[in-house]
Amino acid sequence: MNLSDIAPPATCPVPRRILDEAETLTTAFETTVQRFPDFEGVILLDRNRSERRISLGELWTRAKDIQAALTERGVRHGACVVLILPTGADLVAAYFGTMMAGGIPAVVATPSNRLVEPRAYTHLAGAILHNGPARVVYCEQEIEDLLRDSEDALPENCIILKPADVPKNSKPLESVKPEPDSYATLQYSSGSTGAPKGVLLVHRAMVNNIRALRDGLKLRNDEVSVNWAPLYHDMGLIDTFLLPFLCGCPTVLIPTQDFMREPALWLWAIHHYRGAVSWAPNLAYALCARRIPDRELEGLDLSCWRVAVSGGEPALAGTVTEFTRRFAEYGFRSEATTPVYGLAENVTAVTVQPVDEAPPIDMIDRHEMAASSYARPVDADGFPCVSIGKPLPPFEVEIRAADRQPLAERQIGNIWVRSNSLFSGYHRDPEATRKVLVDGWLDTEDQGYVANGYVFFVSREKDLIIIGGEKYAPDDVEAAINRVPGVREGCAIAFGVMNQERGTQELAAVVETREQDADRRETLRSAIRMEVTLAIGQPIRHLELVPPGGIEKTTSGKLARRATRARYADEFDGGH
Amino acid sequence: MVDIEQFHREVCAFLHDTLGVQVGDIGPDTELITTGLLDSMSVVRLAAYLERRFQLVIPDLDIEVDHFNSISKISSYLEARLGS
Repeated sequence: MNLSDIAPPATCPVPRRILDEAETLTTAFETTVQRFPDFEGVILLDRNRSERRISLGELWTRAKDIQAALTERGVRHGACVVLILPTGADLVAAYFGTMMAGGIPAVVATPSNRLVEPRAYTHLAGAILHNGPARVVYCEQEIEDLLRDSEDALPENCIILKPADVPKNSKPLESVKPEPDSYATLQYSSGSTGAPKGVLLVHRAMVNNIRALRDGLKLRNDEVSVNWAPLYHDMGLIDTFLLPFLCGCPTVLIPTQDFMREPALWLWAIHHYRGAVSWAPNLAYALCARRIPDRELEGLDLSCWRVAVSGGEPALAGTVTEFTRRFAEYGFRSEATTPVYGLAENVTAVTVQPVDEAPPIDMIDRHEMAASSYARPVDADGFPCVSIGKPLPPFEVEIRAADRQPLAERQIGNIWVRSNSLFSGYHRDPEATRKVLVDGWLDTEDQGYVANGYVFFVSREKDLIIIGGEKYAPDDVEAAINRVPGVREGCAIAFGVMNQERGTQELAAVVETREQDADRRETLRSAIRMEVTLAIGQPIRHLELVPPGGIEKTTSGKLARRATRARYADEFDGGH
Repeated sequence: MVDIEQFHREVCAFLHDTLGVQVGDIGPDTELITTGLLDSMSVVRLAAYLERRFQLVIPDLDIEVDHFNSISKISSYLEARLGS
């Protein structure tokens, strides 16, 4: 079909009070299904322009079938079920089906990015499966083959279940009714292959975050949501699926890979469905602003787009301005741009830019920002910081110094959060949990400041690399580099540098070698680039070979990265 | 049969015009992915361009280093797919 043949989604009958009264995700889902089984709440669209509308009743039936299959395979209260499927009806049905069987779902990425070697993928997925440990993996044949080919990806007693193995219309079992404080989701948002970090979320926390976002974004149930963010990502699962779905908004989902192949499809889907809300990382806005030819945009009308959320990575001032400028002639309004700040440890969002105003951009002195951690406003040539808005009620934010004392306005420190949607801890890692959960407050390990009531994000204290909203652990990049012969063992430092033009971070590495011969150094560089691309799926954009002693040695990887990064930042032209 | 010189020009034009890649030194065997010239997103967009240009479907699973790491590799992949 042509996108222009798209019929308007059905008007939503789901009243607001269902979510207000529900204490668990499963109750909200079940109540809605019972009352409106025919409402086509989920719409799947792909790049072949094929559209599938799924009624709540259909989704429920599939979820019940999956529940029965999981129960038959021994899934009981608290069992971890890992879902490795692309965006689609089966993934969302399995997410609810797992909870209805009493299990805890964890959505994990498919290996759709084939630039990564299969063994690198199974290594990463295997680490998560063992951390669970997964009782069941729900995936397609291709993933099963990959997991079985690898020696140790599957933990003991882990069963693989495929969508084709789940009989249709099986005898429905009674759903397990989780308590508000039962675990609802295990979110593997960050962490390295060596130490996956599973963020444990209870139902109450998730429902509270979804309600806070609904109210903060002033989301109405007659508004259509159009998104392509992957559902293994917290922004994808919660903000682009659960939030609109449980608020009764028609929820259009596009496979991530299809957006990547054809970015204009996203904008045209918003146009044709008259989408009001859509979420994407800064990279996607930068890409649309710069890399879609005019001829692909003829006739586009984005005046329906009320809330264009920028999340998953920092919204850059340059990108916000460029996107708004380019798409103004297509009806895009500057006040639609809505940066959010959040993290899986608070389910998703913490702060949101108020929806009816364009985000303030604060120009601050670069030197003072680095030297004295003070965000002094300047008129020109400063660093432009985009506001991440205000804490969503009832969440609270404090900026604190290293000694945990609250800081004054414009002083830069760690962003701490207290809310009714905090995570319960890192799965099987009480030590890591104690480090960030202190007296009911969460240390986000992100740095920012407050000015005129708005919160501004400055930098990340933890050294995750975030590219287009996807998180990469420097440990994994360094491990790949260390596998290359000629690299001084353990003497590689990887970090991210911001590329303002691309609108996201890029990989950078400083690597020690004793090699001095020019040709052999060139071969070494190629080998490092190859190894990292195959292991991580992202290229190293900045690679510096240095003689022994060229990188900082400290007892902590974090400090070593920070010192090395500071030393080479200018050469890599990263700046921020 | 894909004319490699013509194909080289077309791919470079796409990389430059749409993806903003500096194409000055790209030869038929220049490694595009493993040198970091193209990231995964750029490779996927190149695949989408080739699908339209050659009227074929490139499955997600075919988008891998072995098929896309140089212009000559891409051309071999296309020839195999187009059956010439």
